[in-house]
Amino acid sequence: MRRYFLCFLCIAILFVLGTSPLSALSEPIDVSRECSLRICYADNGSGISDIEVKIYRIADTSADAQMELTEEFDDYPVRINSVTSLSEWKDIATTLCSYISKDGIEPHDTAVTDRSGIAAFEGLETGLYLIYNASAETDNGTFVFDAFMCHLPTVGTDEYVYDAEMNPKGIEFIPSNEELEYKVLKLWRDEGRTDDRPEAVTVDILKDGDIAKTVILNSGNNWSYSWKAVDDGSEWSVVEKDVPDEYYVSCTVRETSFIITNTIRQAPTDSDPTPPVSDAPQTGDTFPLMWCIVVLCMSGMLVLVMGVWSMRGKTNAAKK
Amino acid sequence: MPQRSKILIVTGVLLVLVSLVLLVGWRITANTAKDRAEDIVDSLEKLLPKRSTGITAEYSDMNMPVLELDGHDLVAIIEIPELKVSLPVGSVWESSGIASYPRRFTGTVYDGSLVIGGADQKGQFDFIGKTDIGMSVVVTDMTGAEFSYTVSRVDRSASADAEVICSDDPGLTLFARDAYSMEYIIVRCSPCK
Repeated sequence: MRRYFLCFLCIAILFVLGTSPLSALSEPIDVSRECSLRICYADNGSGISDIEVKIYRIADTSADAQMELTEEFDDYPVRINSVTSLSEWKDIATTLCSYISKDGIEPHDTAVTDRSGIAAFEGLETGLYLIYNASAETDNGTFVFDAFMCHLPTVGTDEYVYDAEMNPKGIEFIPSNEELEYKVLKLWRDEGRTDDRPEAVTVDILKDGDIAKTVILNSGNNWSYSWKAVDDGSEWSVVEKDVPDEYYVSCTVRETSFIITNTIRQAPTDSDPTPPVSDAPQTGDTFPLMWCIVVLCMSGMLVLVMGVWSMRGKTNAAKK
Repeated sequence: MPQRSKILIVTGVLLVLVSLVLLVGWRITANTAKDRAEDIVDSLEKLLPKRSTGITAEYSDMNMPVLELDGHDLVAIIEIPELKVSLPVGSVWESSGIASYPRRFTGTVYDGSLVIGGADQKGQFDFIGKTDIGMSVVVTDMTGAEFSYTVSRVDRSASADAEVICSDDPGLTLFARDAYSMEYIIVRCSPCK
């Protein structure tokens, strides 16, 4: 199993996408212009040859940088517009890789790295691309470059760059051959709209691209499932089947945990329902119970003493 | 025994008994809430991925993801190691009051706007009166990402609307109402670099 450690996608993605790739410039994108892409796969400055690199064209882009999923991917419920954080792009890449692996989608183009570790793609249309996971065998294990997203053209200092270069960072994975526990967990970003949530979701768990098992997540199992497997270098991934129409889906990997998050497509008008301004947010203790207990107790004791005193007074008077 | 004395004695005993019943009921409710919160945190620890350091810039335009656990919608675990506090945080503020655990009043951990409110009772925010400047606070979201803070200010206020509780400075805000003085205790926490 390849452990999905935190890797250095950020560097590659930053280089390619910048902080906000689609809104940085006022000039329109020349969508008719051809692009090129050079990706250098290296380990400590030494290029790695003979790595097969696959790219997938995920979305078309318009002159004003709005993206639309291509026909091949328009059935997949992934959000690709208004994405601003690197982590989201990473999750999108992970999610798309799972779908590609499960559905056996053919790449848009492939290339093999040369002696310098460079894979070159020419004559590409503008749009959003996924560069699939790539790996090279080492003496001890596998050197892995995680998948990442790339928009062509990229955003330069003050212009679009139609001939992009990238230098993704990889990590060497050495299977431990120990039994590990894996888990899949379902989360929601739906502003508390619990009525829109389905009663259950079905998730395929894939091992090296093949479905190893299909599980159902629901409230009964706290929307989670775990399984154990030997870390033998196999690649695990998860795919949610039949995502409800109201939601986008994304998958986050944290070592041996897979988090599938469904985000509601249309947030309500008041997307952050800050409680209405009032003088006193209710925290369940508006009534000063402690003081009431003290007052009741003190009053009771006082009345009790008065009663005993009164009784003694009458008794003494009767004796006299 | 004269009639008047009897009435006074019986009334006195009843008042004391009622106060004892209220006290016992209050303690049982608080203990139950405390146990429930501990159970929820234990369950969350088993479900959540291995902890990792959160980055506030991640998902900055998105709300915190929710984990539905035994019918509860939860967004975080809040911990204060020095006070041995570990509590779940509900995702939605209940205007009618907080039932079993503290709730997210507003904001997200990703853009430093998170405000969490709780009740000053055992098992909830009863620690809030003991917080001191410099104490560490950790908020873990439902993806296992940890966000660390340091208490920077503790204020008391007779009234606390959203404008008073929410802060323009990025960080974390905790608040609760003192059960005795009925003042609001507002704890501001700055993110650790």
